[in-house]
Amino acid sequence: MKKIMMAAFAVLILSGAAFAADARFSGTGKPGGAGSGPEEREWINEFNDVCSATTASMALSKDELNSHIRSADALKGRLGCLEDSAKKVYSRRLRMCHDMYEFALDAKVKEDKK
Amino acid sequence: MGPQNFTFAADPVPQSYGNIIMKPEGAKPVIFSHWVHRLRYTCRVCHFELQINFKAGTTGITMEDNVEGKYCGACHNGKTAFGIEHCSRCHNGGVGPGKKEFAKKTGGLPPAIHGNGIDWNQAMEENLIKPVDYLITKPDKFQFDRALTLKAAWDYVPSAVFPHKAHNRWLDCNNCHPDIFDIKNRTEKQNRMESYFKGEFCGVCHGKVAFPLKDCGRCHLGMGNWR
Repeated sequence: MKKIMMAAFAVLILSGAAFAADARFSGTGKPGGAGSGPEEREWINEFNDVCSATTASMALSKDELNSHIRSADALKGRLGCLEDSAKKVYSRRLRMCHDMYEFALDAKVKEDKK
Repeated sequence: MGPQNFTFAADPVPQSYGNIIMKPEGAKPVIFSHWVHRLRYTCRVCHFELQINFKAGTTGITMEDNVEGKYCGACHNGKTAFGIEHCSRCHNGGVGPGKKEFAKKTGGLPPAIHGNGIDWNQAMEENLIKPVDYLITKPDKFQFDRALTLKAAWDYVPSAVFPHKAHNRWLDCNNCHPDIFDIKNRTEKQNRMESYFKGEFCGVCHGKVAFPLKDCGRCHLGMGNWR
């Protein structure tokens, strides 16, 4: 009887864990936790457009840098609506990208003055 | 004060260099081994894409975040890397990989005198390791490889050379600019060895994860190493 109860308990625990794991891994859709709904896809696409160019920022023109800065500013408010984890990660990175473009722009302005 | 007054900590065993121990409340300490991760991923992935701060313990990572697929959970999901349900693989009290595992995984990589005893840059340059540099969005191709010459504060010390290229193999420009190095605030005045010892500027990485400051000749070309 004791063995049967232990086996039933184990099955219960394992099915609970499997359910939790399934919920966990199907919830976010992709690494980094960007969701898969149309609205989320829209902001993540914009976010990626803005933030994927930081490695090339010194090769961008002043117009391109200004455009990225404006896009980052525009996107900032929309990230405020995300759930806490996503907001924490994406808001900080967006701030970094924005500052990088400003930094590159400053460097270019200084170089032009020389 | 001159370089003769600098005091350097003794080298830890190579497999422990860059290990971070985090002590979360109510759980066993977590070990994070940089060398294990940098064999597969560049610094950019965790410290830029995943937004894990350079300073350990300041990001505020929670298990809820990991479950949501953020931070460690971006890879530790049971698919890319072991899942977070394997609690004791990280929450193990602070024990890092041992000498045998280190030798097995890093054997054949070019040697260095200090740190992990590995020249990670050369390893990447020679394609001996091919760490992935993004998880989510492929970054635009890096196009800035200017090497900067930084005059030393002492006449008898050769100038330091800063190669952007070697750093951008591992990092995003955004990792250093503008938060660590900001031309706007004229921070080059404070950019000195003394600041590095306090963990500022180059000292954010060098001395903790990247080759340590006592490897003088790797920046001050022509200068010997501190042994």
